Amino acid sequence: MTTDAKPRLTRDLMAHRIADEFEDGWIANLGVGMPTLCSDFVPAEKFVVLHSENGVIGYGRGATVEEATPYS
Amino acid sequence: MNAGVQPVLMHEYTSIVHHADAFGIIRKGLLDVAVLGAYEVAANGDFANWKMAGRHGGGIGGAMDLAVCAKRIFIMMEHTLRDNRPRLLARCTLPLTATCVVKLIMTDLGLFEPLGDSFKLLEIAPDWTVAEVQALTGAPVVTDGEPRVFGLH
Repeated sequence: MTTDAKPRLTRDLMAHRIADEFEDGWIANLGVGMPTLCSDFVPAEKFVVLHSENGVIGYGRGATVEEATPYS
Repeated sequence: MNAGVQPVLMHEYTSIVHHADAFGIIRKGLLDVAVLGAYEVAANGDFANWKMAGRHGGGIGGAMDLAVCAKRIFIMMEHTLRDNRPRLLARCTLPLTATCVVKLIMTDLGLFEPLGDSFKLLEIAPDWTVAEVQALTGAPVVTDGEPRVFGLH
């Protein structure tokens, strides 16, 4: 079977699809690795509180290099 | 910082709490969903995501707390290993993180629901056939007629 050549879904598509399953008012934890990408795709019309084990509750999408504030 | 130590943006309502309080939120069962990665998922809803033969890495971390306490577990993973061996199996071979908790699995080949002894294919990646997906899956893949082609709402 020549399945190797076929394109698979990208990580962003997978993260977007999972984020679409979130419902308004949910509290969601995104695990280390691919799941963290979901924070970039939470639908704007839904209020979803993102929870991280390290204690950041209600965070938003990933920050770009320019947006990130370095430790000081 | 998120759990992967990547920088994230804060909203006006973002709170910074103690690590122990963050686990209090988990263990009290307040999480509606935890989205986790996995090395293997079984058709009965077991999954393994912390220890792989020949690979060094962290311990199990908070995964067990999340897996047991969250109201539902979604898994996001690659469908196969690099050599195309399946990671969706009838039974996991690696040490388990939790048993019978997985509700939904998003892989790079489609969206699946574990049914006990098979995986229900809810949505399939464009240009893939059910037979091709089945060939790369370690348990029966069942569908409700033709599966929907993967798409974003």
